[in-house]
Amino acid sequence: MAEMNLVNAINDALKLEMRRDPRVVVLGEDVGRVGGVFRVTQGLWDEFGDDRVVDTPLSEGGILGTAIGMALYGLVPVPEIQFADFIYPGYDQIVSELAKMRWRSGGEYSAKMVVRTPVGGGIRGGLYHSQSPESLFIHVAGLKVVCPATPYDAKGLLLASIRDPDPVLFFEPKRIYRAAKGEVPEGDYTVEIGKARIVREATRREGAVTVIAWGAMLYEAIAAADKAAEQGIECEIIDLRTLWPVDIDTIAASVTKTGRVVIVHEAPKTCGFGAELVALVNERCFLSLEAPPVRVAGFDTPFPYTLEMDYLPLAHRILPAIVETARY
Amino acid sequence: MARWEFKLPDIGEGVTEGEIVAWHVKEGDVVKEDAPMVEIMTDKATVMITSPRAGKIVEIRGAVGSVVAVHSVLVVFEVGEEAETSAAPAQAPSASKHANGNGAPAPTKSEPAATAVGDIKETLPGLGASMRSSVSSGGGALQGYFNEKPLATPATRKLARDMNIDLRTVPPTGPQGRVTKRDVEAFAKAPPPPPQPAEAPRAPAGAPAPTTAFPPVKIQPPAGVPAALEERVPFAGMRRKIAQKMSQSKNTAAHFTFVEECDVGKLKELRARLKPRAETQGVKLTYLPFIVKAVVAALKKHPILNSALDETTNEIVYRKYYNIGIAASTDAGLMVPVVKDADRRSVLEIAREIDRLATDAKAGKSKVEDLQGSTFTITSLGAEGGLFATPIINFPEVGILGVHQIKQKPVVRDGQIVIGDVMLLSLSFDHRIVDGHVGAAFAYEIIRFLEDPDALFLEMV
Amino acid sequence: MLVSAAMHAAPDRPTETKPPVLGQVVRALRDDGIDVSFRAALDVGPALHRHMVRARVVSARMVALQRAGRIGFHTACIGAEAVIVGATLAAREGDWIFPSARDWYAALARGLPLETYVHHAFGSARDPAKGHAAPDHAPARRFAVVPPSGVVGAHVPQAVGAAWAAKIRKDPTRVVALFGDEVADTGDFHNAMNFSGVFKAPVVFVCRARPSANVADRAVAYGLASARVDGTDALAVLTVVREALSRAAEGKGATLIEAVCAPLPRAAELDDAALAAGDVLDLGEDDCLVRLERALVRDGRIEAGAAQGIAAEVRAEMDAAIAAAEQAGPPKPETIFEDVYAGTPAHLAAQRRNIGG
Repeated sequence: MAEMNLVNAINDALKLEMRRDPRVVVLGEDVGRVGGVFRVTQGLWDEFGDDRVVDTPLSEGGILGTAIGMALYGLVPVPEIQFADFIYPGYDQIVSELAKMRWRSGGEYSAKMVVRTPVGGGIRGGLYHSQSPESLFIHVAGLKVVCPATPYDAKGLLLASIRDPDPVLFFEPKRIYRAAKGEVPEGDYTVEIGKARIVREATRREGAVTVIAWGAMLYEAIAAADKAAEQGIECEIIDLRTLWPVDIDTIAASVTKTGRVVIVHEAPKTCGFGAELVALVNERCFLSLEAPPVRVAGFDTPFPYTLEMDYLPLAHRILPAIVETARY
Repeated sequence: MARWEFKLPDIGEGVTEGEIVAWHVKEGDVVKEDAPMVEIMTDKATVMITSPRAGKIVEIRGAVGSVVAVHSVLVVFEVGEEAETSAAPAQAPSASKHANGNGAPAPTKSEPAATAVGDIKETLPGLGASMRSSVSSGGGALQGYFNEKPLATPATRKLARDMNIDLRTVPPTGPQGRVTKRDVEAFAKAPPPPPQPAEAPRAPAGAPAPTTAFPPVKIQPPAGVPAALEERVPFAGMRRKIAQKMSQSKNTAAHFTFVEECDVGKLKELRARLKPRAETQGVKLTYLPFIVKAVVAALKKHPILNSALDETTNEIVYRKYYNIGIAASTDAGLMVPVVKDADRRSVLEIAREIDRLATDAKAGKSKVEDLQGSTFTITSLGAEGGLFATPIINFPEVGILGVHQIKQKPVVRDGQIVIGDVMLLSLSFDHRIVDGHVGAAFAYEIIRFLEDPDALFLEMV
Repeated sequence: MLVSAAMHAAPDRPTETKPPVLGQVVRALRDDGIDVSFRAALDVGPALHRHMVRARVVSARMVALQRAGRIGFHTACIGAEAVIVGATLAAREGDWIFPSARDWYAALARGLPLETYVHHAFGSARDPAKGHAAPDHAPARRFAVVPPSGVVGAHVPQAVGAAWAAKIRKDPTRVVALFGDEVADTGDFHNAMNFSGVFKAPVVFVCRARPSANVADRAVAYGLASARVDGTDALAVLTVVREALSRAAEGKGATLIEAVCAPLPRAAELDDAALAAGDVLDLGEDDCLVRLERALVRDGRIEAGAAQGIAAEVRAEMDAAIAAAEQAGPPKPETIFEDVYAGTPAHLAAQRRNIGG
């Protein structure tokens, strides 16, 4: 075991898998010699060389389009998009090609790959370096969407994603790239895709609130839950880890127990993933609900530069939602 | 400093909720004892609620237009150290459970809680405000306005279903009139007696439902008409109350209307003679007190017209008291102040009472007790009353008298066409209770007294 | 003339012969016979001819089926057979083909059974794509043909990626991407040219182009080799693509080939009866089929009127395939949920249970 941050853990997973599986290729803008804009791929080019760690021209459509061809041919590309905000020039290749290749070829072809990209705000990056577009991909049939919050999960989920037969969007919460630290096993292990983690369990049924979060907002949810505890309100905190296919069973079990749920995400509220989660909770837990499910989310505006801490659903916005839900 | 919660007191017999009409205080105000705080409109009247104690108002709950249940928190005060945590006049036992938590978190001092990613400050903007706005927005309260569909969370509904309890029969104690799980559990242990018939008439088991449910009507501009050519105003307050009452009456009572002329030449002479005398006693004498007297006399002859139907017991209730409602149009809408014991009052006393009731109603100062308990109602249709009208019964009464303006018309008197003073009467009856010939006989009884007011003396007590 | 002389080499490579003239169109078929440079392609001539007749007859029948509403969609290839068939037959067995929808015949030229193609067009229970995709988007992995995309140009950067992957893996595989000149308008075209230039991917782009398109000229900017070839001359197309594939195999990178072919005016005038009967074998002097047939007959490679015999066989084959497809009926409703993912996630399993209502 070693203490790692998110960057180290992802780097560790890439190295480990590239050593294990010669089909794995990393490509993207400045992922080679520079080691990536966030240094996540540092050292890979030194070890694996030009053929497997490829600096590409600056074109997300080109990176993703060619990566799909590589995947069709049998490689396992792990393209990096420098910021999720820049993924849209390649969105068609993801939506129309990557996601649908298996389906439209009746299972003859697949283009499995892991698209790694940093998401979220809080780094003074403004609207082009802070977005959280996860729901745009969850909405697309054929994709899996992962967003780890801890170094342990980052490594285990990335290894699982690279070995998964389906294309995976691997969102890395950049705000906690270096802030989130934890013990990470040195060898090979995986964290199962599609399984949420109960970060904190509620001991009581009455008055407890289920709080669902992922990525950087997990830590805000924990902080808000700590404050709520001072007011005698207990929270059951769920880190989704995999956004799609979502672990609705874990969510449903928790909300059935507590009857109350607060969902936190950075993405704009309207049609954010929280909306789907509320719908699923209503479908699965309606008769257990003690209060209306609540979303604490980014606003329905572009992501601001100066006022990013006002935009983000930080603990001070999560806490009142927990309190109101508990006392509804 | 301590916090003290003021809860909506029980402001009238059987009143369970009220609509907030206006706030006279705002957050941050320091108020004295008895200072006007909030106007609440109940089924009965609009009342001004005053502050029961001095203090600083830190929170008000409930937007104008929202409906608040009796015993729910209206105002949070900051008061001296001696104040108790919570108190309310005539507080229901269950209400105390909201005392400790429903407010915004108390502004305690503590360091910011550090996270991996940012600071959490206790004093960040939005924390208190977001608490307040969600509590006072009142959206949920409006849904419960008619209380036809009980408000309850799905979990409470599940509990009631499992316990085979009809949620509509469970008295709510929760916020905004919500039925809580505890309400259901308490109800299961000891179901309360059925509600008062006058408050909430309910059909006995097996009886046909009193109303027909239609889906709500959506109003949209017709094709080609811009929405800007329509103006939307809230359907709330008095207008909504009136609508509720009228719908209940029309959907329940089997209305039929009877119209007849009345030659009131003699009454006109009598009033002209008595008017100066009344004025010496400070009373403006109109025709209405005479009409009240005529109605009371006719009611005594036809007691079924002074009855009401108790639908919960299937009994016709004959009232041996004669409280005559006088429908009055006010700026706020239609109101029906009541002349109590009209059979035991003189014409002059009735005139004086009508004057007082009308003045209060126009000023919006009617007392709850002045607006309830009528057994029969007169509506004065006035100068613009038209040829005839079809008045709607002041339910659950069984008849109503509409009085038109006196007009000069040709009448045949002793075989001669002469100019007569003619007043039209439009009466509506509940055909469930009042047969056609009974209603007609009652109408002619009134006409007889009005055409020959001397006969009223024979009826005097 | 030597074919390589007409190929515009990548600018960073010395040319093997004298510098080519940009815009010069390579032709094999001449009025007086076949240019000696292309005689090597003659061995493939009868196969080219047979496939072109087959493509023509099948496409004509598909147009008729589409007009009759029996299939939802067809992208006719009448007049472009020389490019599609010539480029496909130029590739070796292990090479990969990335066609666009109009190049659907590439899969058949590679061996996809006509019956399978028709099942796919009808979206029948025996469609390899399980009714998921519209006609002319058939998968043919067994023949290393990738199913066309519905997004114009999306497959071209993918072809680059596959070629690049083969290069990384040191496989001898080369890739042919087929598309029309409309692709040259897209961002994907730019991405494909740019990435292939940067990575020297062993890919050959074959663009069906109207005479005014000037697609090949763009290769210069990307550092690619290029050639302009007569798209109604199957022998020239085959020869030029072969040469480009050889360059790719030698590590010389990608080539952009512009195959110039004007739309055949008579193709648009064909009535339903002519289409259904497959009476489409002579569409005038500019018809690629007419030109190839004349040259092959003159050279003694095929009998005069051979096309009629092939067409009759294909028509009979089509009749049987259509009957089989209509008889097979649609796939089972639950096949909608197959191949969205490798497995069946819980949410799809739940939705699958509800498909019957």
